[in-house]
Amino acid sequence: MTGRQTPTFQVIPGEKGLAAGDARAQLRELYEKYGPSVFGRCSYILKDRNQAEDAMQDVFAKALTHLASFRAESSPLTWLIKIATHHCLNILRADRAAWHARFERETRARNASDPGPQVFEMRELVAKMLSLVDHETQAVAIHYHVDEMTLEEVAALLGRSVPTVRKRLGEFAAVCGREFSL
Amino acid sequence: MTLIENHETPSSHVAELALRCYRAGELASEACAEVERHLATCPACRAKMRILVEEQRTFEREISFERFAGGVERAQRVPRQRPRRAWVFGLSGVVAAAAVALFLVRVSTPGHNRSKGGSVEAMARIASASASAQRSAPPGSQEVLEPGDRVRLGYKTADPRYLAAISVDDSGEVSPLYPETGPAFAVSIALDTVYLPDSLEFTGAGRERVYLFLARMPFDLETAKQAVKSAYQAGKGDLSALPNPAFAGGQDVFSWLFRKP
Repeated sequence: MTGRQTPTFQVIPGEKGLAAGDARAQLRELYEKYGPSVFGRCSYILKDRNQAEDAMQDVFAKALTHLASFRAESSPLTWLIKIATHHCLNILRADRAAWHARFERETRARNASDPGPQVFEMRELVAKMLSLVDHETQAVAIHYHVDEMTLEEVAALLGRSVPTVRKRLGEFAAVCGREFSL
Repeated sequence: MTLIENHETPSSHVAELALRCYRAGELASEACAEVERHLATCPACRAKMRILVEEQRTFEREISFERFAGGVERAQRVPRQRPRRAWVFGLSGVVAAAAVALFLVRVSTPGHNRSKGGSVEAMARIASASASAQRSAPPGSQEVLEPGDRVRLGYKTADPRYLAAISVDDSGEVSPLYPETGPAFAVSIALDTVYLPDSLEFTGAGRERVYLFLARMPFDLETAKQAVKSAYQAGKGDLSALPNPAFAGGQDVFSWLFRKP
């Protein structure tokens, strides 16, 4: 067997000095409260279940590494979503070689999951357009259109000004318009 | 956080992220009450909530807590500074290609069963857990892996081929690596080394033999798996003495034997 699919079964060490039971409880809390949202974001961007699971693990590992600041966030979920989005977009950027693109098409065909109800169809539209814009515009588009954050919230989350966010969204809309006019 | 957003549609709804925060218990009591009042009167947002509830169920069904905990622990122990797929090359593309060229192997190696016709080559790279050290592994070699070592397979081919990679362990369990199901991947001419996406981390104890097939004719993964199973049986389970698996289609077969930590 290879490690791509086989899980290991170990207790997470957690914070220094934290008892194993506490560490496990803490991890279970992360799993239950945030696991689906983070995994959903990773799956949405990467379109590959295995990659998404790896990426999710990376995100939570980062959260545990910076647990104090993570806990101090007014919305730990928003922080996790931001980290997951950034991490996954970086993965996509690293995988732009033609070979990877062919593999991705294969895996997308196998693994793409339909969220079902049409209320989420905007997600799919944004996902299809992501490859056509730069990294920052990708993040802006996801947080605005998928997370449904406001301009101000996106600007604060990404450390950009509202006009910059608005400009990025305009660029994204222009790209979408060009695609649909073809 | 803005709870009721109104920037895209004429009607007001709870933003998706706000709904997620609500479910995670992150909203203050007033905001919570606001969401609940809205949910009571908005079928669209209730539908969104149902999707999130179902998402939770699906997640917990597909990824158990133990699996999640193990994976996070592993990721924490071996932090990936870069995305996993990028671990092979820390150098620029040109420098990396030159470096890899030093490790290319000749086709007439013990781990290579050659078909007639164009030239194909294969190679494996092994990266340590910290990705600070890398080494090459020519086909036919036996490699001892340390905990956290990851393996990546690559190839070159002078003509179009069909590719699949499969492994078999001491117990005879056959695992498809590339692809996981279906027909072998069609690969075009690659005069420079092309590495397969993802690196492989072997789990468990004992040994694992990895085969890389590059065939002239299309073939199905099941065909290759059967060939590997037959080879395992013919070799009486001794991974160091398995005959080369073969099937119709004129394939080049490369293999490596890994001893797992």
